[in-house]
Amino acid sequence: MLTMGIDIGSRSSKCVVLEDGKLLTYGTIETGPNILKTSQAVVDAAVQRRTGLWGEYRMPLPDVKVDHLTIGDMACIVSTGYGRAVVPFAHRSITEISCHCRGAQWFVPGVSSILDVGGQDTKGIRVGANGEVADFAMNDKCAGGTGRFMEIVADVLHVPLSEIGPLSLQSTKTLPFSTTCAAFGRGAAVAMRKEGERKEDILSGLHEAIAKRVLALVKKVGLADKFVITGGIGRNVGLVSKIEERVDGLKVTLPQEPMIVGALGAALFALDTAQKQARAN
Amino acid sequence: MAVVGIDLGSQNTKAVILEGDEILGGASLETGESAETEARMAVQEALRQTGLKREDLKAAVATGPLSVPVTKAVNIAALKQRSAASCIATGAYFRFPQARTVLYVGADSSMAIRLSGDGQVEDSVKNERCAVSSGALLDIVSRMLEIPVAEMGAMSLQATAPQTLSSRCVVFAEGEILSFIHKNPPVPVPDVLAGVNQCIADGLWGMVQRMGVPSELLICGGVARNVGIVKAIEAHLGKPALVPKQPQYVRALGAAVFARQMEREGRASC
Repeated sequence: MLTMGIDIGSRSSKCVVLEDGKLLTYGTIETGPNILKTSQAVVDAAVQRRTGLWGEYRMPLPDVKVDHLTIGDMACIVSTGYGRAVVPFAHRSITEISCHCRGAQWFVPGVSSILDVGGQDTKGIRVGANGEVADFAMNDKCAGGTGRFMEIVADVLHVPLSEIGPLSLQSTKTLPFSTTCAAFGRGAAVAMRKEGERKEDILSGLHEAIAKRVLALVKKVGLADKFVITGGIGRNVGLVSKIEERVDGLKVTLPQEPMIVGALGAALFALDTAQKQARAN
Repeated sequence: MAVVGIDLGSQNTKAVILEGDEILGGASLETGESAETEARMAVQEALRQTGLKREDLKAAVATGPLSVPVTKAVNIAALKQRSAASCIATGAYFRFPQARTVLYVGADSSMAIRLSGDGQVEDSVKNERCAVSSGALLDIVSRMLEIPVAEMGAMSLQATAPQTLSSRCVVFAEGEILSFIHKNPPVPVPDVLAGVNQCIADGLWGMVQRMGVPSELLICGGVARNVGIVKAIEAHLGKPALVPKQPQYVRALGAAVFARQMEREGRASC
Protein backbone atom coordinates (compact mmCIF):
# COMPACT_ATOMS: atom_id res chain seq x y z
CA MET A 1 0.00 0.00 0.00
CA LEU A 2 1.46 3.36 -1.06
CA THR A 3 0.81 6.54 0.91
CA MET A 4 2.12 10.07 0.45
CA GLY A 5 2.82 13.03 2.71
CA ILE A 6 3.35 16.51 1.30
CA ASP A 7 4.71 19.35 3.43
CA ILE A 8 4.37 22.73 1.71
CA GLY A 9 6.52 25.03 3.84
CA SER A 10 6.91 28.78 3.48
CA ARG A 11 10.37 28.35 1.93
CA SER A 12 10.71 24.69 0.96
CA SER A 13 8.38 21.83 0.10
CA LYS A 14 8.92 18.15 0.80
CA CYS A 15 7.21 14.98 -0.38
CA VAL A 16 7.56 11.49 1.13
CA VAL A 17 6.19 8.22 -0.27
CA LEU A 18 5.84 5.18 2.00
CA GLU A 19 5.21 1.59 1.00
CA ASP A 20 3.37 -0.15 3.84
CA GLY A 21 4.94 2.33 6.25
CA LYS A 22 8.49 1.88 4.92
CA LEU A 23 10.30 4.76 3.24
CA LEU A 24 10.16 4.30 -0.53
CA THR A 25 11.30 7.70 -1.79
CA TYR A 26 11.29 11.42 -1.03
CA GLY A 27 12.14 14.75 -2.65
CA THR A 28 12.44 18.43 -1.78
CA ILE A 29 12.17 21.66 -3.76
CA GLU A 30 11.93 25.37 -3.07
CA THR A 31 8.37 26.60 -2.59
CA GLY A 32 7.39 28.70 -5.61
CA PRO A 33 4.89 31.56 -5.76
CA ASN A 34 2.25 29.21 -7.15
CA ILE A 35 1.40 26.50 -4.62
CA LEU A 36 -0.59 24.43 -7.13
CA LYS A 37 2.50 24.13 -9.32
CA THR A 38 4.73 23.58 -6.30
CA SER A 39 2.51 20.68 -5.15
CA GLN A 40 2.93 18.86 -8.45
CA ALA A 41 6.62 19.72 -8.72
CA VAL A 42 7.46 18.29 -5.31
CA VAL A 43 5.71 15.01 -6.21
CA ASP A 44 7.85 14.91 -9.37
CA ALA A 45 10.95 15.54 -7.26
CA ALA A 46 10.07 12.61 -5.00
CA VAL A 47 9.47 10.08 -7.79
CA GLN A 48 12.54 11.29 -9.69
CA ARG A 49 14.50 11.27 -6.43
CA ARG A 50 15.70 14.86 -6.39
CA THR A 51 16.50 17.01 -3.37
CA GLY A 52 16.88 20.42 -4.90
CA LEU A 53 17.73 22.14 -1.68
CA TRP A 54 20.50 20.35 0.14
CA GLY A 55 22.02 18.09 -2.45
CA GLU A 56 22.75 14.56 -1.36
CA TYR A 57 20.35 12.03 0.15
CA ARG A 58 21.01 11.01 3.73
CA MET A 59 18.45 8.25 4.05
CA PRO A 60 19.02 4.88 2.37
CA LEU A 61 16.30 4.27 -0.20
CA PRO A 62 15.27 0.84 -1.56
CA ASP A 63 16.85 0.09 -4.92
CA VAL A 64 13.63 -0.07 -6.94
CA LYS A 65 12.34 2.00 -9.82
CA VAL A 66 9.85 4.64 -8.67
CA ASP A 67 9.78 7.17 -11.49
CA HIS A 68 6.62 5.64 -12.98
CA LEU A 69 4.58 6.39 -9.83
CA THR A 70 1.85 9.02 -9.95
CA ILE A 71 -0.54 10.47 -7.42
CA GLY A 72 -3.15 8.03 -8.78
CA ASP A 73 -1.13 5.13 -7.31
CA MET A 74 -1.44 6.48 -3.77
CA ALA A 75 -3.99 4.92 -1.41
CA CYS A 76 -4.09 8.19 0.52
CA ILE A 77 -2.34 11.57 0.39
CA VAL A 78 -2.07 13.93 3.39
CA SER A 79 -0.86 17.51 3.08
CA THR A 80 0.66 19.63 5.84
CA GLY A 81 2.59 22.86 6.33
CA TYR A 82 1.85 26.46 5.56
CA GLY A 83 0.32 25.70 2.14
CA ARG A 84 -1.48 22.50 3.17
CA ALA A 85 -4.98 23.77 2.34
CA VAL A 86 -4.08 24.46 -1.28
CA VAL A 87 -2.74 21.05 -2.35
CA PRO A 88 -5.45 20.05 -4.85
CA PHE A 89 -4.98 16.29 -4.77
CA ALA A 90 -4.65 15.76 -0.99
CA HIS A 91 -7.34 13.65 0.66
CA ARG A 92 -6.77 15.24 4.06
CA SER A 93 -4.75 18.06 5.51
CA ILE A 94 -3.27 17.93 9.00
CA THR A 95 -1.40 20.65 10.92
CA GLU A 96 2.38 20.59 10.86
CA ILE A 97 2.42 20.38 14.67
CA SER A 98 0.74 16.95 14.57
CA CYS A 99 2.80 15.83 11.58
CA HIS A 100 6.14 16.80 13.14
CA CYS A 101 5.14 15.03 16.35
CA ARG A 102 4.24 11.86 14.43
CA GLY A 103 7.26 12.01 12.11
CA ALA A 104 9.73 12.64 14.93
CA GLN A 105 8.59 9.44 16.65
CA TRP A 106 9.25 7.46 13.49
CA PHE A 107 12.84 8.71 13.47
CA VAL A 108 13.41 8.79 17.24
CA PRO A 109 11.18 6.47 19.27
CA GLY A 110 10.51 7.85 22.74
CA VAL A 111 11.00 11.51 21.77
CA SER A 112 9.61 13.91 24.38
CA SER A 113 10.47 17.44 23.14
CA ILE A 114 10.67 18.71 19.58
CA LEU A 115 12.05 21.95 18.19
CA ASP A 116 11.12 22.69 14.61
CA VAL A 117 12.73 25.74 13.04
CA GLY A 118 11.17 26.46 9.70
CA GLY A 119 11.62 29.16 7.10
CA GLN A 120 9.11 31.54 8.66
CA ASP A 121 8.01 30.02 11.93
CA THR A 122 9.38 28.12 14.88
CA LYS A 123 7.58 25.58 17.04
CA GLY A 124 8.27 23.88 20.32
CA ILE A 125 6.29 20.67 20.89
CA ARG A 126 6.00 18.45 23.96
CA VAL A 127 5.09 14.86 23.20
CA GLY A 128 2.68 13.10 25.56
CA ALA A 129 2.98 9.56 26.94
CA ASN A 130 0.99 8.07 24.07
CA GLY A 131 2.81 9.99 21.37
CA GLU A 132 0.18 12.70 21.13
CA VAL A 133 0.88 16.46 21.13
CA ALA A 134 0.72 17.36 24.83
CA ASP A 135 1.53 21.05 24.36
CA PHE A 136 3.07 23.36 21.82
CA ALA A 137 4.24 26.95 21.41
CA MET A 138 4.70 28.73 18.14
CA ASN A 139 6.43 31.86 16.91
CA ASP A 140 4.92 32.98 13.64
CA LYS A 141 4.73 36.72 14.28
CA CYS A 142 8.39 37.67 14.29
CA ALA A 143 11.17 36.57 11.96
CA GLY A 144 13.68 36.77 14.83
CA GLY A 145 14.01 33.07 15.61
CA THR A 146 13.33 31.61 12.19
CA GLY A 147 15.24 30.43 9.17
CA ARG A 148 14.45 33.75 7.53
CA PHE A 149 16.82 35.54 9.91
CA MET A 150 19.64 33.18 8.92
CA GLU A 151 18.79 33.62 5.26
CA ILE A 152 19.00 37.40 5.52
CA VAL A 153 22.37 37.38 7.27
CA ALA A 154 23.78 34.64 5.00
CA ASP A 155 22.72 36.80 2.07
CA VAL A 156 24.47 39.99 3.24
CA LEU A 157 27.60 37.96 4.02
CA HIS A 158 27.47 36.24 0.62
CA VAL A 159 27.66 32.76 2.15
CA PRO A 160 25.37 30.01 0.79
CA LEU A 161 22.80 28.98 3.41
CA SER A 162 24.08 25.41 3.45
CA GLU A 163 27.57 26.62 4.42
CA ILE A 164 26.83 28.98 7.29
CA GLY A 165 26.78 26.09 9.79
CA PRO A 166 30.20 24.60 9.01
CA LEU A 167 31.74 28.08 8.57
CA SER A 168 30.52 29.30 11.96
CA LEU A 169 32.24 26.35 13.66
CA GLN A 170 35.59 27.87 12.62
CA SER A 171 34.85 30.95 14.70
CA THR A 172 37.40 31.98 17.30
CA LYS A 173 35.22 34.61 18.98
CA THR A 174 31.43 34.81 19.11
CA LEU A 175 30.38 38.37 18.32
CA PRO A 176 27.26 39.32 20.24
CA PHE A 177 24.22 40.08 18.09
CA SER A 178 22.55 42.82 20.09
CA THR A 179 19.29 42.52 18.24
CA THR A 180 16.79 39.73 17.88
CA CYS A 181 15.05 41.50 14.99
CA ALA A 182 15.89 40.07 11.59
CA ALA A 183 15.44 43.46 9.93
CA PHE A 184 18.04 45.01 12.25
CA GLY A 185 20.21 41.91 11.85
CA ARG A 186 20.96 42.87 8.29
CA GLY A 187 22.35 46.25 9.39
CA ALA A 188 24.17 44.73 12.35
CA ALA A 189 25.96 42.23 10.11
CA VAL A 190 26.93 44.92 7.61
CA ALA A 191 28.27 47.13 10.40
CA MET A 192 30.39 44.28 11.79
CA ARG A 193 31.84 43.56 8.35
CA LYS A 194 32.73 47.24 8.00
CA GLU A 195 34.57 47.05 11.29
CA GLY A 196 36.64 44.27 9.78
CA GLU A 197 35.07 41.36 11.66
CA ARG A 198 35.27 37.87 10.17
CA LYS A 199 32.24 36.15 8.67
CA GLU A 200 32.66 33.05 10.86
CA ASP A 201 32.56 35.14 14.03
CA ILE A 202 29.47 37.05 12.89
CA LEU A 203 27.73 33.76 12.05
CA SER A 204 28.68 32.28 15.39
CA GLY A 205 27.02 35.27 17.09
CA LEU A 206 23.98 34.90 14.86
CA HIS A 207 23.58 31.25 15.79
CA GLU A 208 23.92 32.06 19.45
CA ALA A 209 21.20 34.73 19.26
CA ILE A 210 18.86 32.36 17.43
CA ALA A 211 19.65 29.43 19.74
CA LYS A 212 18.66 31.52 22.78
CA ARG A 213 15.47 32.58 21.17
CA VAL A 214 14.26 29.20 19.88
CA LEU A 215 15.16 27.42 23.12
CA ALA A 216 13.01 29.88 25.07
CA LEU A 217 10.12 28.61 22.98
CA VAL A 218 10.80 24.91 23.73
CA LYS A 219 11.35 25.64 27.41
CA LYS A 220 7.89 27.19 27.50
CA VAL A 221 6.35 23.80 26.76
CA GLY A 222 8.99 21.79 28.64
CA LEU A 223 12.38 20.55 27.57
CA ALA A 224 13.16 16.92 28.36
CA ASP A 225 15.03 13.87 27.12
CA LYS A 226 14.78 12.90 24.25
CA PHE A 227 15.04 16.26 22.57
CA VAL A 228 14.82 16.28 18.78
CA ILE A 229 15.43 19.11 16.31
CA THR A 230 13.50 18.96 13.04
CA GLY A 231 13.23 21.18 9.98
CA GLY A 232 15.95 22.36 7.65
CA ILE A 233 17.75 23.92 10.59
CA GLY A 234 18.63 20.43 11.81
CA ARG A 235 21.19 20.46 9.04
CA ASN A 236 22.86 23.61 10.37
CA VAL A 237 25.66 22.18 12.54
CA GLY A 238 26.54 25.65 13.82
CA LEU A 239 23.10 26.31 15.26
CA VAL A 240 22.74 22.78 16.61
CA SER A 241 26.03 23.08 18.50
CA LYS A 242 24.95 26.43 20.02
CA ILE A 243 21.69 24.82 21.11
CA GLU A 244 23.58 21.87 22.63
CA GLU A 245 25.68 24.29 24.71
CA ARG A 246 22.51 25.61 26.29
CA VAL A 247 20.51 22.55 27.25
CA ASP A 248 22.37 21.56 30.44
CA GLY A 249 23.95 18.39 29.22
CA LEU A 250 20.83 17.13 27.50
CA LYS A 251 21.65 15.32 24.29
CA VAL A 252 20.21 16.78 21.11
CA THR A 253 19.06 14.03 18.77
CA LEU A 254 18.93 14.80 15.08
CA PRO A 255 16.82 12.76 12.69
CA GLN A 256 18.89 11.48 9.79
CA GLU A 257 16.91 13.76 7.45
CA PRO A 258 15.44 16.53 9.62
CA MET A 259 13.80 18.31 6.68
CA ILE A 260 11.34 15.55 5.86
CA VAL A 261 10.00 14.89 9.37
CA GLY A 262 6.73 16.76 8.76
CA ALA A 263 6.12 15.15 5.37
CA LEU A 264 6.91 11.74 6.81
CA GLY A 265 4.43 12.29 9.64
CA ALA A 266 1.82 13.25 7.04
CA ALA A 267 2.52 10.06 5.07
CA LEU A 268 2.06 8.01 8.29
CA PHE A 269 -1.29 9.70 8.92
CA ALA A 270 -2.17 8.87 5.31
CA LEU A 271 -1.33 5.22 6.03
CA ASP A 272 -3.70 5.24 9.06
CA THR A 273 -6.51 6.59 6.92
CA ALA A 274 -5.86 4.18 4.07
CA GLN A 275 -5.78 1.18 6.41
CA LYS A 276 -9.00 2.26 8.09
CA GLN A 277 -10.67 2.54 4.69
CA ALA A 278 -9.33 -0.86 3.63
CA ARG A 279 -10.76 -2.44 6.77
CA ALA A 280 -14.10 -0.69 6.28
CA ASN A 281 -14.32 -2.10 2.77
CA MET B 1 26.46 83.49 21.62
CA ALA B 2 25.94 80.81 18.97
CA VAL B 3 26.09 77.12 19.86
CA VAL B 4 25.56 73.91 17.88
CA GLY B 5 23.70 70.66 18.48
CA ILE B 6 24.69 67.58 16.47
CA ASP B 7 22.50 64.53 16.07
CA LEU B 8 24.28 61.41 14.79
CA GLY B 9 21.31 59.47 13.47
CA SER B 10 21.49 55.99 12.01
CA GLN B 11 20.45 57.33 8.62
CA ASN B 12 21.00 61.10 8.75
CA THR B 13 23.36 63.37 10.60
CA LYS B 14 21.90 66.75 11.58
CA ALA B 15 23.31 69.98 12.94
CA VAL B 16 21.31 72.89 14.39
CA ILE B 17 22.79 76.29 15.30
CA LEU B 18 21.08 78.19 18.08
CA GLU B 19 21.65 81.68 19.43
CA GLY B 20 19.53 82.65 22.40
CA ASP B 21 16.02 81.48 21.49
CA GLU B 22 16.59 81.80 17.77
CA ILE B 23 17.35 78.88 15.46
CA LEU B 24 19.86 80.32 13.00
CA GLY B 25 20.45 77.34 10.76
CA GLY B 26 20.12 73.61 10.34
CA ALA B 27 21.48 70.97 7.97
CA SER B 28 20.95 67.27 7.46
CA LEU B 29 23.21 64.85 5.57
CA GLU B 30 22.96 61.15 4.95
CA THR B 31 25.14 59.28 7.45
CA GLY B 32 27.97 57.52 5.68
CA GLU B 33 30.48 55.00 6.88
CA SER B 34 31.95 57.30 9.48
CA ALA B 35 29.45 59.70 10.97
CA GLU B 36 32.40 61.94 11.80
CA THR B 37 32.78 63.32 8.27
CA GLU B 38 29.07 63.99 8.00
CA ALA B 39 29.07 65.74 11.37
CA ARG B 40 31.78 68.13 10.16
CA MET B 41 29.99 68.75 6.87
CA ALA B 42 26.59 69.26 8.50
CA VAL B 43 28.06 71.83 10.88
CA GLN B 44 29.77 73.57 7.93
CA GLU B 45 26.54 73.65 5.96
CA ALA B 46 24.57 75.04 8.93
CA LEU B 47 27.28 77.67 9.44
CA ARG B 48 27.06 78.66 5.79
CA GLN B 49 23.33 79.43 6.26
CA THR B 50 24.07 81.68 9.21
CA GLY B 51 27.12 83.48 7.86
CA LEU B 52 28.98 82.55 11.05
CA LYS B 53 32.42 80.98 11.32
CA ARG B 54 33.43 77.86 13.25
CA GLU B 55 35.14 80.09 15.87
CA ASP B 56 31.80 81.76 16.58
CA LEU B 57 30.41 78.51 17.96
CA LYS B 58 31.05 78.58 21.70
CA ALA B 59 29.72 75.17 22.71
CA ALA B 60 28.55 71.93 21.13
CA VAL B 61 26.55 68.90 22.23
CA ALA B 62 26.40 65.64 20.31
CA THR B 63 23.69 63.00 20.61
CA GLY B 64 22.03 60.19 18.66
CA PRO B 65 22.35 56.42 18.41
CA LEU B 66 25.84 56.51 16.88
CA SER B 67 28.24 57.21 19.69
CA VAL B 68 31.07 58.24 17.38
CA PRO B 69 33.59 60.65 18.84
CA VAL B 70 33.23 63.89 16.88
CA THR B 71 35.86 65.86 18.80
CA LYS B 72 38.10 66.29 15.78
CA ALA B 73 35.29 66.94 13.34
CA VAL B 74 33.66 69.66 15.40
CA ASN B 75 36.83 71.12 16.91
CA ILE B 76 35.07 73.01 19.68
CA ALA B 77 36.63 72.82 23.13
CA ALA B 78 33.29 72.83 24.97
CA LEU B 79 31.89 69.57 23.58
CA LYS B 80 29.69 67.12 25.47
CA GLN B 81 27.50 64.09 24.79
CA ARG B 82 23.89 63.89 25.95
CA SER B 83 21.47 60.97 25.78
CA ALA B 84 19.03 60.75 22.88
CA ALA B 85 16.00 60.72 25.20
CA SER B 86 16.98 63.92 27.03
CA CYS B 87 17.73 65.71 23.75
CA ILE B 88 14.38 64.70 22.23
CA ALA B 89 12.57 65.87 25.37
CA THR B 90 14.47 69.15 25.48
CA GLY B 91 14.01 69.87 21.78
CA ALA B 92 10.30 69.09 21.98
CA TYR B 93 9.81 71.26 25.08
CA PHE B 94 11.70 74.14 23.43
CA ARG B 95 9.23 74.22 20.53
CA PHE B 96 6.03 73.04 22.23
CA PRO B 97 6.15 73.41 26.02
CA GLN B 98 2.55 72.16 26.23
CA ALA B 99 3.54 68.67 24.95
CA ARG B 100 3.21 65.98 27.63
CA THR B 101 4.13 62.93 25.55
CA VAL B 102 6.68 62.94 22.77
CA LEU B 103 6.75 60.23 20.15
CA TYR B 104 10.04 60.16 18.28
CA VAL B 105 10.18 58.01 15.14
CA GLY B 106 13.52 57.60 13.44
CA ALA B 107 14.85 55.52 10.58
CA ASP B 108 15.22 52.41 12.70
CA SER B 109 14.50 53.33 16.25
CA SER B 110 11.61 54.97 18.01
CA MET B 111 10.86 56.22 21.46
CA ALA B 112 7.90 57.48 23.47
CA ILE B 113 8.71 59.88 26.30
CA ARG B 114 6.47 61.28 29.02
CA LEU B 115 7.43 64.82 30.00
CA SER B 116 6.97 66.63 33.27
CA GLY B 117 5.55 70.17 33.27
CA ASP B 118 9.06 71.62 33.07
CA GLY B 119 10.20 69.45 30.18
CA GLN B 120 12.05 66.73 32.11
CA VAL B 121 11.91 63.06 31.11
CA GLU B 122 9.51 61.30 33.51
CA ASP B 123 9.42 57.95 31.77
CA SER B 124 10.32 56.56 28.38
CA VAL B 125 9.95 53.43 26.30
CA LYS B 126 12.20 52.50 23.43
CA ASN B 127 11.70 50.29 20.46
CA GLU B 128 15.02 48.64 19.82
CA ARG B 129 14.23 44.94 19.57
CA CYS B 130 11.79 45.06 16.70
CA ALA B 131 11.83 47.15 13.54
CA VAL B 132 8.08 47.33 13.03
CA SER B 133 7.52 50.65 14.86
CA SER B 134 10.14 52.58 12.95
CA GLY B 135 10.96 53.87 9.52
CA ALA B 136 12.55 50.53 8.55
CA LEU B 137 9.39 49.29 6.85
CA LEU B 138 9.09 52.54 4.85
CA ASP B 139 12.60 51.98 3.50
CA ILE B 140 11.80 48.42 2.49
CA VAL B 141 8.54 49.41 0.79
CA SER B 142 10.23 52.36 -0.89
CA ARG B 143 12.79 50.01 -2.45
CA MET B 144 10.15 47.43 -3.42
CA LEU B 145 7.69 49.84 -5.03
CA GLU B 146 10.35 52.30 -6.22
CA ILE B 147 8.60 55.23 -4.57
CA PRO B 148 10.65 57.85 -2.70
CA VAL B 149 10.06 57.71 1.08
CA ALA B 150 9.19 61.41 0.99
CA GLU B 151 6.16 60.77 -1.25
CA MET B 152 4.73 57.78 0.58
CA GLY B 153 2.69 59.77 3.08
CA ALA B 154 0.82 61.97 0.60
CA MET B 155 0.28 59.08 -1.79
CA SER B 156 -1.25 56.92 0.94
CA LEU B 157 -3.95 59.55 1.52
CA GLN B 158 -5.35 58.73 -1.94
CA ALA B 159 -6.23 55.22 -0.78
CA THR B 160 -9.83 54.14 -1.32
CA ALA B 161 -9.65 50.71 0.32
CA PRO B 162 -6.57 50.49 2.57
CA GLN B 163 -5.05 47.01 2.48
CA THR B 164 -4.61 45.68 6.01
CA LEU B 165 -1.27 44.05 6.79
CA SER B 166 -1.63 41.03 9.04
CA SER B 167 2.11 40.81 9.76
CA ARG B 168 3.57 42.54 12.78
CA CYS B 169 7.13 41.94 11.59
CA VAL B 170 8.78 43.94 8.79
CA VAL B 171 10.40 40.83 7.34
CA PHE B 172 7.07 39.05 7.00
CA ALA B 173 5.35 42.27 5.92
CA GLU B 174 7.77 42.43 2.99
CA GLY B 175 6.48 39.07 1.77
CA GLU B 176 2.88 40.05 2.36
CA ILE B 177 3.27 43.29 0.38
CA LEU B 178 4.87 41.32 -2.43
CA SER B 179 1.72 39.18 -2.58
CA PHE B 180 -0.45 42.33 -2.77
CA ILE B 181 1.38 43.75 -5.74
CA HIS B 182 1.40 40.41 -7.55
CA LYS B 183 -2.31 39.84 -7.05
CA ASN B 184 -4.48 39.80 -10.14
CA PRO B 185 -5.48 42.61 -10.38
CA PRO B 186 -2.76 44.11 -8.16
CA VAL B 187 -3.75 46.07 -5.06
CA PRO B 188 -3.46 49.80 -5.94
CA VAL B 189 -0.26 51.37 -4.60
CA PRO B 190 -2.03 53.99 -2.39
CA ASP B 191 -4.00 51.17 -0.71
CA VAL B 192 -0.79 49.26 -0.03
CA LEU B 193 0.89 52.38 1.37
CA ALA B 194 -2.10 53.18 3.59
CA GLY B 195 -1.86 49.66 5.03
CA VAL B 196 1.87 50.08 5.63
CA ASN B 197 1.38 53.42 7.37
CA GLN B 198 -1.42 51.98 9.49
CA CYS B 199 0.77 49.05 10.52
CA ILE B 200 3.59 51.39 11.64
CA ALA B 201 1.15 53.78 13.36
CA ASP B 202 -0.50 50.93 15.30
CA GLY B 203 2.87 49.80 16.65
CA LEU B 204 3.77 53.36 17.62
CA TRP B 205 0.43 53.96 19.29
CA GLY B 206 1.09 50.94 21.52
CA MET B 207 4.25 52.69 22.74
CA VAL B 208 2.37 55.95 23.36
CA GLN B 209 -0.26 54.08 25.36
CA ARG B 210 2.41 52.58 27.60
CA MET B 211 3.28 56.15 28.60
CA GLY B 212 -0.39 56.83 29.42
CA VAL B 213 -2.74 58.50 26.97
CA PRO B 214 -1.43 62.06 26.74
CA SER B 215 -3.26 65.38 26.87
CA GLU B 216 -0.93 66.77 24.20
CA LEU B 217 1.10 64.48 21.95
CA LEU B 218 4.03 65.72 19.90
CA ILE B 219 5.29 63.58 17.03
CA CYS B 220 8.81 64.14 15.76
CA GLY B 221 11.75 62.43 14.07
CA GLY B 222 12.17 62.04 10.32
CA VAL B 223 9.20 59.67 9.97
CA ALA B 224 6.85 62.41 11.29
CA ARG B 225 7.09 63.92 7.79
CA ASN B 226 4.86 61.06 6.61
CA VAL B 227 1.35 62.57 6.85
CA GLY B 228 -0.26 59.15 6.48
CA ILE B 229 1.38 57.88 9.67
CA VAL B 230 0.65 61.12 11.54
CA LYS B 231 -3.03 60.96 10.52
CA ALA B 232 -3.30 57.31 11.57
CA ILE B 233 -1.85 58.15 15.00
CA GLU B 234 -4.20 61.14 15.30
CA ALA B 235 -7.11 58.77 14.60
CA HIS B 236 -6.05 56.73 17.65
CA LEU B 237 -5.56 59.91 19.68
CA GLY B 238 -8.94 61.35 18.67
CA LYS B 239 -7.52 64.83 18.05
CA PRO B 240 -4.67 66.55 16.20
CA ALA B 241 -1.13 65.95 17.39
CA LEU B 242 1.59 68.61 17.58
CA VAL B 243 3.99 68.24 14.68
CA PRO B 244 6.94 70.64 14.25
CA LYS B 245 7.50 71.96 10.74
CA GLN B 246 10.83 70.21 10.44
CA PRO B 247 10.37 67.30 12.83
CA GLN B 248 13.66 65.65 11.84
CA TYR B 249 15.65 68.36 13.66
CA VAL B 250 14.06 68.06 17.10
CA ARG B 251 16.80 65.87 18.59
CA ALA B 252 19.58 68.08 17.23
CA LEU B 253 17.70 71.11 18.51
CA GLY B 254 17.55 69.57 21.98
CA ALA B 255 21.32 69.05 21.81
CA ALA B 256 21.73 72.71 20.84
CA VAL B 257 19.62 73.79 23.83
CA PHE B 258 21.96 71.79 26.10
CA ALA B 259 24.93 73.45 24.41
CA ARG B 260 23.40 76.85 25.12
CA GLN B 261 23.04 75.90 28.77
CA MET B 262 26.70 74.78 28.85
CA GLU B 263 27.81 78.01 27.29
CA ARG B 264 25.83 80.10 29.80
CA GLU B 265 27.16 78.13 32.76
CA GLY B 266 30.68 78.48 31.36
CA ARG B 267 30.32 82.26 31.24
CA ALA B 268 28.80 82.41 34.71
CA SER B 269 31.75 80.53 36.22
CA CYS B 270 34.31 82.81 34.58
